Amino acid sequence: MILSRYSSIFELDEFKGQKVIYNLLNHSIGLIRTASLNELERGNSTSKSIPKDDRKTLSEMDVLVENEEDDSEKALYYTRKIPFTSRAGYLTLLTCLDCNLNCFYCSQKGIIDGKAMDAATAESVGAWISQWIRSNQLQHLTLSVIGGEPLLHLEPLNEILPRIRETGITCRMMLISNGVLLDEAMVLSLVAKGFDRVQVTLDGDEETHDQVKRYQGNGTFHRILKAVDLCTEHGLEVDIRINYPKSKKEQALNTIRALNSLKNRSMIQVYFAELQSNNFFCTNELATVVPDLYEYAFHAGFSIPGPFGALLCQAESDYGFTIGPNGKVYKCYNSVGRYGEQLGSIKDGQLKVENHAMLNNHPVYECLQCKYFPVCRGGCKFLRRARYLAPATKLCAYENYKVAEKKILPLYVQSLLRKTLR
Amino acid sequence: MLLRAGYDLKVDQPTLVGFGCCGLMGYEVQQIELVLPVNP
Repeated sequence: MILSRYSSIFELDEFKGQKVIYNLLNHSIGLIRTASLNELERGNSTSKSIPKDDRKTLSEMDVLVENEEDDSEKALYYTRKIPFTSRAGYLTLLTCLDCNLNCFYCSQKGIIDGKAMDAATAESVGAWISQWIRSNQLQHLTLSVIGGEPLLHLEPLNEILPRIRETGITCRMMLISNGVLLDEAMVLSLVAKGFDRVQVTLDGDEETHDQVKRYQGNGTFHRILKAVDLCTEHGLEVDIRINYPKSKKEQALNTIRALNSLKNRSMIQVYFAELQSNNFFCTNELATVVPDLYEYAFHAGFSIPGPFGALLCQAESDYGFTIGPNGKVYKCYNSVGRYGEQLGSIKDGQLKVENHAMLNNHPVYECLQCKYFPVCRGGCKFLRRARYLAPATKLCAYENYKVAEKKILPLYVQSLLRKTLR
Repeated sequence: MLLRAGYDLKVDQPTLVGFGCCGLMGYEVQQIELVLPVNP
């Protein structure tokens, strides 16, 4: 047997004489003696010099394959199978397309219309969700509540959450907010509703941020930091997204330096987003990966995200949907308001599918030989569809993945270890 | 030593999917938003 090509191997100072293996297909992580790995790389997988515990780890990680061909076929098989067999649902709910800020870079400009989900729509959406969970025997649901600014209009949750709970499903709830309405009463209300996690955004250090995110004539930097502390004090995990303009990463560094006063940092995950100059979905594939920002965040005590995303994106899963305030349904939150990307709509408690193209996934076979296939899968679903319709379309993020693997993956594993050992 | 068990691809376990977003710098368990595009 051979080590799967979809594996990342690296050293950490904490583990002398051993190497970390990260399985890019199932996201398992293991620790193996360097000598055992050397034997594997020489093709001696049956060598008696590989100790029993290393064999056990390799087996538990499911990282050995018969040969290169089987390695590719295995990755292809599970990549195509998983979207249709998982019993984990993912819903993104937009309670409103209204906002109390006016950020110059907002990706929802043109679709923010001040509208909010009305009671009748909330009732219909709640009825559909309940029936959808039961008929598909879903066992776990991730619910992300976003907007606009969702805290302006949480009323639909009063109708929808009881319909979810009555099914008995386990549910993880997250909120993406600009944070300016997150006072203690609001945080307690979110906790009572069952939220687990909140994301807020900073647009730079105090001076830069306050030029962008102004509320009632005032800057919001300290208001948001106070909200972050309130969240973690009451048990909510927090993601802080730090935006910075293209080619101005020093602004991101200044921002992270300005977070020194935050408490409970192990509950806070920081990530960085370079603002792109072109409005293009899934720009993550085009973004420049800047490892030193993550290194700084890690050493400042914050958690950092896994660089290879999830096993499966919501838009690829047959059990993932985004629901707009008017009951229109999409696969991806990026599709809201985008021409030709509406899947259908929910009316009278039923989802009527009007665009079946949104339900299909198109694998890119030529990418199978690439080490990063299981995590990239040939680009986002919508890019894959573009390639399917126009095969000459090429867009490869190999170099970005390579940087992420070499520089950020080791930090991420260290971040996990630090959190576990704490 | 196993540091983290992977998703069991052979079993339809509830934690298999539903966590996150496509591709690079997505999040493993919670993130849905990646790089925010700027309007031209």
